[in-house]
Amino acid sequence: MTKGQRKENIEHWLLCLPALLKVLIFSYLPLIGLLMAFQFYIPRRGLFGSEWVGFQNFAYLFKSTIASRLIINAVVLNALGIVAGTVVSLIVGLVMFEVVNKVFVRASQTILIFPYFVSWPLVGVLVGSFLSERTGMLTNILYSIGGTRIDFYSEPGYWRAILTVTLVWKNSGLSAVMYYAFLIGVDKQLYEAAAIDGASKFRRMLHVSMPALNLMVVLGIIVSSANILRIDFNQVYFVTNNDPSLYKTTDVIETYMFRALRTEGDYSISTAVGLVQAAVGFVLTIVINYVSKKLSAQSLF
Amino acid sequence: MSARTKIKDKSLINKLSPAEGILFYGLLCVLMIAVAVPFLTLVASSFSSSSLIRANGARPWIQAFSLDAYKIVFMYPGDMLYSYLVSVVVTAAGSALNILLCAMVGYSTSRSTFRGRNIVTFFFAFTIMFQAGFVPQYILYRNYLNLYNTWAVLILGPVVIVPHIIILRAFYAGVPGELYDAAKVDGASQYRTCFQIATPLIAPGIATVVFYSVLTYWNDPFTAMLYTDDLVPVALYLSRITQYIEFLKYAQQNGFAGLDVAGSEIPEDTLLYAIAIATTAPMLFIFTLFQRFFVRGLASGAVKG
Repeated sequence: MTKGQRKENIEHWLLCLPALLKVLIFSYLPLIGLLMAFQFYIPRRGLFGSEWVGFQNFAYLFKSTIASRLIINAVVLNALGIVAGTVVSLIVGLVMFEVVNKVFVRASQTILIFPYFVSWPLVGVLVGSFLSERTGMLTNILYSIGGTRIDFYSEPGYWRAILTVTLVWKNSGLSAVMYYAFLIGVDKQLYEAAAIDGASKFRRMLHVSMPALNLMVVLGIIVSSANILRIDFNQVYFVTNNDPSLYKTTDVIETYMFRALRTEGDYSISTAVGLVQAAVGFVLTIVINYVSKKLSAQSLF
Repeated sequence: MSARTKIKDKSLINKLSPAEGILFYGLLCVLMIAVAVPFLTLVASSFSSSSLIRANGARPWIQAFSLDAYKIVFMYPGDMLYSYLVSVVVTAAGSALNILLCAMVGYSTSRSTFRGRNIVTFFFAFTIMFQAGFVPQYILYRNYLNLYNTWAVLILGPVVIVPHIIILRAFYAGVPGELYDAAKVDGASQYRTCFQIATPLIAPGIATVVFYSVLTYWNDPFTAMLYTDDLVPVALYLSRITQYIEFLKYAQQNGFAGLDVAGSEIPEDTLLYAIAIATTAPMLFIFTLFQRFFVRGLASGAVKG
């Protein structure tokens, strides 16, 4: 390296330094705390005074129903969310692209993106206005049709569907607009050629637009599958109102860890769950990065 | 050849058959209604008489116009206004810091002359792939960094959002190399090149990240829920009120010992809806106002990334 190159390099390092320090302290230091998963951690004694128990915490997790419940809930919710989210946003994006009236398109975009801006606590209030036992709109409609008053907040069976619907409702508008924005950039000649061949709009969607979006959709799906055990804490916690009677289908790793910190207080067990989650996520990311390299000739990182 | 010229008439390519028109416009209309109805219900019910809401339930139209709920909300606005203050300060400071740090990293890692770019990139990417989870994090923040119940934890906790680095890096990579060469010839340092030459050229990228960052900070009840007692941003304030009103309703129905609320007329639902609106409406308005820039940048970011 010449003197000038060395100076430039040092300047680059200095530009990165503040962010590196922040991440080192706030994201890397906690990794040491993962050792708690192999301990019977007692806060008073700290990390170095607590008793080491090997894999006992993991054994407990997997022997009891805790781990299987948390993992199944996360996988089911994520799978539903990925499938429903992709299908809805893809269809909406394709349809938006075919609609000719630009004013209408813009209006629909503004409205469909709107839920993306609201916080999960507000979504929780909105869900309550539909499902609350006495005053909920949907509860009342179902009552007038069927004559029974469903108490949604004590029936865990409904909540996988409800959480999926709220997720799609909140986020799919934005994904649809992103698909739309991508289609705007597709070569117009492809559509002209399709029109010459007498292709209907549906065939055009299927054979011109869809292939153009293919890579984006596939990458989106595989990236989300790497997070199959991770769920947005805010969504689950605020939409279900953290109702314990719904835990059977809605309790996930994040909410479990939160309770451990706030009420039940077993740090070691919840760190062990967190470690399982992190390890699975890490392995999946490596695998998926490899797959996407094969698919798109570009790595995600 | 004749077919080709006919196609030049754009309307022919774009025209929808009646069936297609009904289907496409119909689908979008249905979805728009599905998005709008919950909000309409919220707004309409907040302006309704609470006894009618209690009797009929929430409806997407106003039932006997009444401002009672809002009167209660604005009778003692202190807590809510303080929440707004917390949210505004945290969002402004946090976003500014986040964007500054992410831009510096995004710039440096976009330059091929930076020898450490791969290590630095991996250092940040790893934190997405493998996280300690928030139990060890909680103990570190609380017991070792003494961040519990401080402004610092709300501002610094989320700072350096890695996807923002990735978006900005893609934008910086699009800056023409000749400009960097010229800057080098003029003897500009990397700091000057980053802030005075490259950054002004990627304004759409910065705008996107600003928007994303503000949205993330504003709608984050989680950090405060875990790490503060007295500093309650608006998103969390709403959830606290929700819980409080749930409790009141429960007490009213079941007659709680020592709590004389049975039979008293607390406008529970309408009050909750009014608070929901008072805590979210101003920011939703601002987000909607700026959404066009955001979507444009996001789309180009997605294409580049």
